[in-house]
Amino acid sequence: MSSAVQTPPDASVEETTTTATYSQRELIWRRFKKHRAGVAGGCVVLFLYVCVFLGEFLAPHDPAHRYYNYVHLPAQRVHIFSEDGIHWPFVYGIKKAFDRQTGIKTYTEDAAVRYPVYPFARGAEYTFYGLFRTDIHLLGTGKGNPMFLLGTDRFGRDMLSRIIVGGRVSLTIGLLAVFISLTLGSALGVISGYYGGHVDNLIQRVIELIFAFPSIPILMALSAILPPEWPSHLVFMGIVTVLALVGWGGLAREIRGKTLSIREADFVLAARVAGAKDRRVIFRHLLPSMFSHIIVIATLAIPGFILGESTLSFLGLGIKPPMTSWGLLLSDAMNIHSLSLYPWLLLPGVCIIIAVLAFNFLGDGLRDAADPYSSR
Amino acid sequence: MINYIIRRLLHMIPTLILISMVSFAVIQAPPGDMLTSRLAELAEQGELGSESAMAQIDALRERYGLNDPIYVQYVRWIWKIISKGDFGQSFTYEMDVMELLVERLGLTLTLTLSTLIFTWIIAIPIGIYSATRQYSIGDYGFTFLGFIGLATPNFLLALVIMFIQVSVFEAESVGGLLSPEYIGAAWSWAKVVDLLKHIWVPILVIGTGSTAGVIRIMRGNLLDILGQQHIQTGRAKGLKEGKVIVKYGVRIAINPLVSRLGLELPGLLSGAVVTGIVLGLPTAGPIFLTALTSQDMYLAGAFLLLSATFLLVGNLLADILLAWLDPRIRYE
Amino acid sequence: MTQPLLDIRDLKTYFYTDDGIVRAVDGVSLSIVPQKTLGVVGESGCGKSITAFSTMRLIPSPPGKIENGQILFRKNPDSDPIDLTQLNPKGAQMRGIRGNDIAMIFQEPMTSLSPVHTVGNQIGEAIRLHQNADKTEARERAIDALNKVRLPRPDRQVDAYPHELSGGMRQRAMIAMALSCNPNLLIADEPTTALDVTVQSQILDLMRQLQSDIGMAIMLITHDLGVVASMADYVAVMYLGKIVEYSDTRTIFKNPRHPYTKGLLNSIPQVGHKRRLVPIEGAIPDPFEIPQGCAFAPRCPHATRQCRETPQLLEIESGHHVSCWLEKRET
Ligand SMILES: Nc1ncnc2c1ncn2[C@@H]1O[C@H](COP(=O)(O)OP(=O)(O)OP(=O)(O)O)[C@@H](O)[C@H]1O
Ligand code: SF4
Ligand SMILES: [Mg+2]
Repeated sequence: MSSAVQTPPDASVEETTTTATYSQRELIWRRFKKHRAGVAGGCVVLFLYVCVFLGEFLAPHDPAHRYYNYVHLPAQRVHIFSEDGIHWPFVYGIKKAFDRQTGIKTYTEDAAVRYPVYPFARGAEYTFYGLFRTDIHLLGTGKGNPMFLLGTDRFGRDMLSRIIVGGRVSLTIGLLAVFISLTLGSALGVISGYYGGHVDNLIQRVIELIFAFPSIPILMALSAILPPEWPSHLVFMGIVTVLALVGWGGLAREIRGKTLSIREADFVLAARVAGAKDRRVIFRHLLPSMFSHIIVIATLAIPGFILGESTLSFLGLGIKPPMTSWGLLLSDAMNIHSLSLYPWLLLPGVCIIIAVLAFNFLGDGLRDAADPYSSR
Repeated sequence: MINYIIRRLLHMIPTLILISMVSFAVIQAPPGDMLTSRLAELAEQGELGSESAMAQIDALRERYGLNDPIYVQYVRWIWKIISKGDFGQSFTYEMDVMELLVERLGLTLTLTLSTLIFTWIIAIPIGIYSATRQYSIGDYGFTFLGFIGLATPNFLLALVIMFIQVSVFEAESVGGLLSPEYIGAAWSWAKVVDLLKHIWVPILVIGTGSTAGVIRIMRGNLLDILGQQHIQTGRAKGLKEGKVIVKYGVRIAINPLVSRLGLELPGLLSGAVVTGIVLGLPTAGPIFLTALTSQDMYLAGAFLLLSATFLLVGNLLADILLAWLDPRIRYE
Repeated sequence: MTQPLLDIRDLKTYFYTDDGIVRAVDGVSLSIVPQKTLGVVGESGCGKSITAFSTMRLIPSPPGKIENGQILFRKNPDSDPIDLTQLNPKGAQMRGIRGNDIAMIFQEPMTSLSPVHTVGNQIGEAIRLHQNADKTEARERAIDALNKVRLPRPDRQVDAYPHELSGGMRQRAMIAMALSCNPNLLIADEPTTALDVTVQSQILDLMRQLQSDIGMAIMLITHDLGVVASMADYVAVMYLGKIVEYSDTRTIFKNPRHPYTKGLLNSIPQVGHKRRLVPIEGAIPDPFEIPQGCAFAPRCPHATRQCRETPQLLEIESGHHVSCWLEKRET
């Protein structure tokens, strides 16, 4: 309290805090750069978002197109050598054989046919974010020709293309859900921590209520309520809302804790004693100084949302076709029979793990940089 | 202590009321009521609009009180639960919800609790190992596995394990809790062995994530505590190193784990639901999913209400355990 | 002359950290005579605690390591000395000495007892360990020990948890624990620093009395010269890992020779004298960059060119050792 008595006028307080946060941010950034796992995680996250942003351009095929000749085709390999020497990278054509007795289809490489893999090849037409129509893809062997680098699913759709497009949904849902729940969580968390008293009690009670339910079942129940006749994109928004609705509580709790600890900090007290309005204190002093913590909390919350969405979609309560997501793609692998025959159906799972790991590492790195003395 | 428990029990009552309201809201949320699907049935038979059918529906509405205001329906619902343990009817299974759930819920909780115990038995020694051999290869290895474990959703882990069972070990029956020949058979030694052969899969699936979490916390806590003064006191007494670590380190590092039980249990229960669905276990998971997809809302609501109640009780027990373990917070 | 109970010779304990080597103890020699008290004084960070922990073989390793020297300890006056540096710090022999022959109490009574075990449990543990007592006997003796340190109502406090006791009471309990096996040597690492003044003098009185009851020697680590004056028979003054002056207490106070000792004495207000406090100029150097030669040179008013070489610890008169070039120059 004694520091509050020698309060400089409000304006100068503000100045010191802004410069303080600036150099603070600089410091955090410098510490973060030293955190190798964090930087690696950040790079992977960036890479994933660039990939899903480029979406249809990166995807060699139309993710919805069904190649009935290539159902459940295993991943094709890209070759450089063939019997007659070295070539531009290519894939072989496919020969199909059908064993009448076992009823099992087998695919073999057809050494007679080679499809060179070209960059910026023409393929299926698509509209890039509604901006322009094109049929250029990063890699391809020409429209209709096979090049299924990660195999195909039970309708002969290209796994790689579906994983890229599904990733867009999975990763965007994570971001949107964290954005909404962060807005809600920051607002309520700060109010709760700053004002205390009855408001705080009420908000804490609500959060307690959310936490009283096991998270996956309540998510399942809420998504099941979404009207079945809703089209794909509305369901998408619905799932985002459901995730945020269940997820904001944890964020609000953490932000409340931070608010409590920062509320008594000298510069906040100074501003309050100097007669600044609550709203001003919150927006000009509290929130800016908590910014780095909020970013950390948000980053560490994203994996939870990604996992939540994938579980819902996997169970058939989430994303609805024609949209797809990593979780929904994995529901094809639910059948143990097809899983053992077509193990590449598990590949979207690898993407989930990579994305979640990357976010976790990034978040850990950011936290250690923002708060070097906290031991979780 | 008794006072503390009573206070906690009283605190639970409003939470329970709110939980039941949310559960009821979930039941009421889908458009229409339980007779809507009956109507649809009638429509299929082309009887919709016939006087007698409509009269029948109206009579049913009246009988079930579906025309009453929502709060009256809520009070009726909750009163039946409290007084008779009657959670209503499941129309998909055409059974009493309670009758349907009781055994499966029991199995779900057993699975959750066994996983909890398993998690601790595995995670605590590993946490101790990691903390006492900080930065060793083993420590790094467990940390790495822990990260993977935390990043893998339950359903994916279940798929991977089933895949490994089938493709590597060429197992014939995967999933479930019993091989087909033992289902419905009388309990025998062979059946118990068969159960153990199956149950490790769900336990592993449900427990991996929280094992990773517990290892992390145990390691961190123990490292903190091993740096404290009273550890040196123990050593200065001439105690063996192992005894110092167990009595003065681990014993104290356990407390925060117990206080985290309240956070751990919901995750485990969630895991048990999902795993039950993927592995096709006779637990509450699969019927909860069926209930949701077929809008069998009394069943779904009952499950929500019961599992939240279970978590509340679990929380209470964890807090009591903590108060018993840690003299510093006793009687507070 | 009596054989020393503890004889430390040229002890060097280093820490190998990521940022470099910390020579926390760098060639310390001192000895402790049975039933007498040696005061070890010096500013914070000079290596007092590390000397004590080295003796107990409780240096955390890694990063710490005893690099050189002997720590000779005699279990009883006529036995051959054991070199503690040669023992396995976790082995049975060292553990048999710890708590039984050499006991230690720490600076922070608040944290030096386990919060989740009763006081009686923690005291009785040492008794059971070293004296083959069973549970009930250990409890009886724990109550006895608490009685000796004049903890009120020992038969009830024996079942108390540390958080139920005040700081002074906890330090009494620590002393009871340390003395429960009648050690020959008690190492007290700043036992009263964390306590307020009245409690401090009670604890010191208590230690003095118990010392004469049990007949043990004390190594009393402190930065409070007042405490040294009232407790110690001998004093060792440490600066940056080395002993700079060593003598009996009277001599140190009446005839200090090392400029650092003089500085320390000047910095305490003396009762009855109205002298101004003269703090020692300058700050302790970074432990990674200890200056060559006499480590005190940067702060020493008498420093000369010669001080760039390391002075030896010389016995300038019977029992009075000083390491300073000034001494050579004068003789
Ligand atoms: N575990 C460690 N790792 C690295 N350096 C250490 C470690 N423990 C002690 N040191 C260093 O050893 C030096 C001596 O420390 P010591 O604890 O003996 O000081 P002290 O004289 O007891 O000081 P105080 O009066 O503050 O207790 C210090 O510079 C300290 O930084
Ligand atoms: S040796 Fe030199 S620098 Fe060191 S104390 Fe003596 S006079 Fe001062
Ligand atoms: Mg010390």
